[in-house]
Amino acid sequence: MFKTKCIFISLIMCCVAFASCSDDDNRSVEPTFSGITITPEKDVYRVGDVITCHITCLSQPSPDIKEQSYWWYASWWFPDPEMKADFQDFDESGVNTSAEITLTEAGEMKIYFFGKLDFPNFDWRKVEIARTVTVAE
Amino acid sequence: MYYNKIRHQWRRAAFLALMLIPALAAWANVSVSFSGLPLRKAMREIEKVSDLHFFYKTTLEGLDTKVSLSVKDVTAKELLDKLFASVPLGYSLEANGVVVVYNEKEPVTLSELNATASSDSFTVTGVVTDEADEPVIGATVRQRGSRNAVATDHDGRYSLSGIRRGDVVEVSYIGYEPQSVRIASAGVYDIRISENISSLNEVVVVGYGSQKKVNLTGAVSVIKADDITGRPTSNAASAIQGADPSLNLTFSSGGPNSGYSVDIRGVASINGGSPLVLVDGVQMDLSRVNSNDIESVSILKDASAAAIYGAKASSGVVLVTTKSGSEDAAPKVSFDLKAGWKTQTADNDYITSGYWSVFINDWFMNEHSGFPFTTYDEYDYAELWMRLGQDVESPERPWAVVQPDKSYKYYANFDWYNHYFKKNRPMQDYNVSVTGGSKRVNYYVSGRIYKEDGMIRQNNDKFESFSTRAKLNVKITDWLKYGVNMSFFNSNYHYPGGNDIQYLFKGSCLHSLPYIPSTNPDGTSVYYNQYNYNGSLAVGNGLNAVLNYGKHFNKERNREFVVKNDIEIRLMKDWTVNADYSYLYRNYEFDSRRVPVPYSQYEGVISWMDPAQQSIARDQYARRVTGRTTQIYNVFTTYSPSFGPHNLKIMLGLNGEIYHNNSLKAERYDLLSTELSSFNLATGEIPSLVEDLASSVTRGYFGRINYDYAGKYLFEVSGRYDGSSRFASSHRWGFFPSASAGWRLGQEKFWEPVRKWWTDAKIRLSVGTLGNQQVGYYDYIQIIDTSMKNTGVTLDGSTQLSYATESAPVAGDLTWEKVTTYDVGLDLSFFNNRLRFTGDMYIRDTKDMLTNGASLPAVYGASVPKANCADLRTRGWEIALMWDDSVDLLDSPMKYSVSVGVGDYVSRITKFDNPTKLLTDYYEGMTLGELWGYHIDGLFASDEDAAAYTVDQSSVNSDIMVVGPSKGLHGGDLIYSDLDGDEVISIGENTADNPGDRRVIGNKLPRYNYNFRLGLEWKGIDISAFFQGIGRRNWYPSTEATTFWGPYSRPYQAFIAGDFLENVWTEDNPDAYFPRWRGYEALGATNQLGPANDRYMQNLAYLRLKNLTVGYTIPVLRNVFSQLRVYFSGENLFYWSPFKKYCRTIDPETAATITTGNNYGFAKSFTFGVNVVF
Repeated sequence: MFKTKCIFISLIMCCVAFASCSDDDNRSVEPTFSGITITPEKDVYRVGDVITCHITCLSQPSPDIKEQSYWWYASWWFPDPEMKADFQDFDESGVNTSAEITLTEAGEMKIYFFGKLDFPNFDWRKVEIARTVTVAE
Repeated sequence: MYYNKIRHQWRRAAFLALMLIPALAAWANVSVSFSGLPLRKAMREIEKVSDLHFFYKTTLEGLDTKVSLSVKDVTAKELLDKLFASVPLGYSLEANGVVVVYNEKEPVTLSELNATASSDSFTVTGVVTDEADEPVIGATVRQRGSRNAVATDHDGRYSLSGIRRGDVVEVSYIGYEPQSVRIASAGVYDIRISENISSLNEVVVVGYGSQKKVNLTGAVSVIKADDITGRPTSNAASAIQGADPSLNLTFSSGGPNSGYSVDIRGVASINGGSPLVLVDGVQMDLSRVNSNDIESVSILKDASAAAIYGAKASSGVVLVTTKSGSEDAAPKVSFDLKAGWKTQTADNDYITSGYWSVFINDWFMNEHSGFPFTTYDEYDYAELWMRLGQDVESPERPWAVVQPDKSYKYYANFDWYNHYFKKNRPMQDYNVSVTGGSKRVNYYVSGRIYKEDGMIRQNNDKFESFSTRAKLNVKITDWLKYGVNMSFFNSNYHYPGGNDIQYLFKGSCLHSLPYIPSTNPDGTSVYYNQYNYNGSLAVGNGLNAVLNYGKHFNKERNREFVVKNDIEIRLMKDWTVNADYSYLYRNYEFDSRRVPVPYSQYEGVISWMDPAQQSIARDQYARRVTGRTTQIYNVFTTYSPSFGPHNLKIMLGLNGEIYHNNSLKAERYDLLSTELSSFNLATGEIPSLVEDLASSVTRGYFGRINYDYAGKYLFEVSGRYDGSSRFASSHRWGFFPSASAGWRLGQEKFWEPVRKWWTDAKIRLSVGTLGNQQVGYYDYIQIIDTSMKNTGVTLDGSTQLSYATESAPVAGDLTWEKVTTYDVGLDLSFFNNRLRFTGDMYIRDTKDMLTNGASLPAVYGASVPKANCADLRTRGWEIALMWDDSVDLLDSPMKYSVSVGVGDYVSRITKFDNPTKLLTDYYEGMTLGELWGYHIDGLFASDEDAAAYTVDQSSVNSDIMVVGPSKGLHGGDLIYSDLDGDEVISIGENTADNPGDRRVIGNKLPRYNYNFRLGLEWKGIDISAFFQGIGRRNWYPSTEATTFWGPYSRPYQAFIAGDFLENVWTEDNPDAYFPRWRGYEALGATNQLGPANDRYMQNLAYLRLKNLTVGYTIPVLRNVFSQLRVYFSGENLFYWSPFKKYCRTIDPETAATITTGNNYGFAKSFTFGVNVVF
């Protein structure tokens, strides 16, 4: 019985070891980011308020990254053909700051930070970080 | 209205036929005569000649009373009254011819008789031995009508319990005749079984008769009903595909109404030609035959076997024999009901991301043309990226954004494949048959309803068919038999879009990129989109809007009615005369309607598709009606005497066929209604009004002599003198002889020492010549075509003139192509026929094939007349190996069988008037199907490598050298190998002797057809698996094979495989299969992917699990059902193919049928069914 148990446990260990060896071991590493901070910080904003958003890069991507681009976006921009992505780069201190965003609609609005990371062999990854703000009339 | 009347008449005829047959079966007057027989024996005699069955107590007094009777054509009651008039017994006539006999003082009923039978069960034991008194190990001993069975042990002993008095115990063993014993009481029953001579007596249907299989001298394969029946296929053609390695059956698509082509041992002529397919002697289309009706299929492969059919049989003959009723068999009603679903065999995992579709197509277009496919900028790309992974449109991130000019800009992730096509589609199949017979009459009646949904999701295409068959055989007198065989088939197929359903698969994937949705937010259809290619490319070439609007329709109807009457007159014991007359009516109708189609490009603005740009949007009604009649008559006589060991069979006969075809096609534009379709509502131009009439007559006189000496030495000579109206009167008749011989070594005395394990051996030799009349009906005369219109010339400024044209001159001596086949065969059997082998090698010479004659000076002024001046030689072989046996598993016998078949052939041109061997035509020495192409040495590793390559390959880089921002050779481009060392990649003189840098790189004909079957039966469980495949077949994707090439062909391709980018060369991906990204590289014949080459030559070899059936016969309600079986049956469940390595989205059989690979895909099916017999 003891022998059977040993064989059974060994088999499980082999399976676990095998499953943990994946192709992802050599996968390129994405950068990590903080949450979105807003200037000025308020619990409730008013329509017409102008805000600026920030995000900090906490860790750099692996050096094999070929290209990266980042932009800011707001949820009410999607159906608006006039509003376009606000492309911004990180500064030397690792902070990405949006252009000024005017809050034009009331309600629970989302501010997005998007990223497009291009690693070799068509390994493209999407960054999407959002923060909801409350906007009153 | 007229056609409705016809349809109703057919239905009435079919219904009457069904009703008539059981009524006729009941008609069975009896004639019998005997004198001074005990009543017990007299009743047995009556049972032999009538449907009556007597039941009585064995202890009944008066059974030995002697009686005499002589009656002719009396009813059962009249006969019984006379029989019992002189004996002190009474009788009662029950249903189904049951006669209960009893003492008049003590009347009994049938149920009382049954109740008196013993109900106590007991055990019987014994030994099973063979003819040499050797114990038989592993024989199955079974209680008849139940699954109570055991296997004999090493001493041949058995012990079977649960037996009741009167039960029948059966013994069976592979290679031996089954034996049965009626059990009177418990005890020992030793049973001797003898070698199965029925396997030696197995009869094979051949032309105008049948022959013992062991006496065959020609090459004949047989497909049995068990290999066909119950498979979830829409018709018999699908069911026999792959069943024999010599039979190549290729479907034009996977559609429910797909046509097919068939050949035996490859095509017999460069002009094509297909085998003669006869269903019960009538030439028919296999796709109109219910596979459940088939008793057997004989494939006559060599000239010897097919010679009796003369000029129609040059490509071989497929003889389909349908089921018939049996003599003296109780009525048997069988229901087979199954339902399931179908799904594509090929993968359809395509990119559905709007971002990637724009990225890839923009990228490929830009590299080629210098501008992207869309006009999207980085902000639009950002919009697409933000919607990446959004499979369903959300209110926050709409897929269509209205621009300031009210146009729509799209950012969708639309799954076009699943929008156009269904993944799963249901099917239903209902079969019923009734069969039975008496001494004089037997019948078989069947009906089938088959329904299948097609794969087109929008306005789903639907196929349904109904078929029925009724066969009746009547023994009118001892010397005269009459038979009638009627069948009716009706199918309807409705599908949307334009009238070419295959175009739907090509057109739909053009410009339907996932970033564009099918409809706008207001529900209108998307057609043009101004943000791509100047807005000039229509989504799905207009098919999206057409399918969404849903008012286009196409209706195909096929109807076929066949009635055959035959009589057989027995003049003497060994001499019969047969005559039959068949009438076949085929009707094809096709209705097609197109209407103007709306779409919207700007919010709130409805536009209509311009018919000048999209003919599919032209308001039009079209109708085609074709009626074909074929009358066939045969009269033949067979005389088969035997003189001691000399057996002779002489057959002489004549055959005639009269064929008429009448078809009418009409089209007219501009109808007053989009809802109603009739020419009465059409007011516009009539672009087409064509009538086509054709007739042909054939007549043949044939004969065959078979002789064998004691079944050892077999000879056959046959010939046919054929005439066909397809040739000029002076070249109309031809004589086609054949001869064959066989030697059954296994019947010789010197075989005795090995016969115990090597049962039999036979060598066959045959040679014969057949004609090929498969040319046009009027190829021997010049035709004047008056249907030419639209000349562009007018006299009144509006009406275009019509004109007539004369066809090219024809050779006056046009005549038959002649096909001579030499065949040597070997049939072996071992271990009492448990192991069997059949092998054939053959050479088939086709002489005088029709082709263009010798070149004539240009001043001749017309194309060269066709003449009989080309030859072809085909060499091939086939082998088949079969093993049947039974073993004991868990005290129950398990029967199993394995069979393997392999065949191959190669055809070469042996004569053709092409002395320079130009590769644009056939040439002497050419292997049929050969593919010439370049050798590729790989891809340039870098721009520097490409620049350093000194070989001029501009002839295969015509586009890449001059067009676009990335023109010129770069890293990732193909390195064409300079095989002739002249530093220039070229086609040389384009001849076989000077092909430049090309060589033969493959062959598009299938090689090494193979199949294998596995069968198993145990404890009511049955499993059968049928695998089929080919060993090699090459395919070079054509320039329009958009699903294979993706944006390398057209950089606006919707269906791009999910793993496509992994195979695209980049500096990061130097080992990729495909070259660097650049659109249109596969589209042009001289672009780098256009010319055939060995890097992108595909091997379409495949192994397919063609059918897997698992069934279980449920051991319940045995007193109600004689069989109750439930089963699962799957068709085309899996396939393995090297083609899958780089292309999972095209089935290898689809690729084989169409060079673009864009077609109605082949389907696999999963069905569950129940089979009830009672």
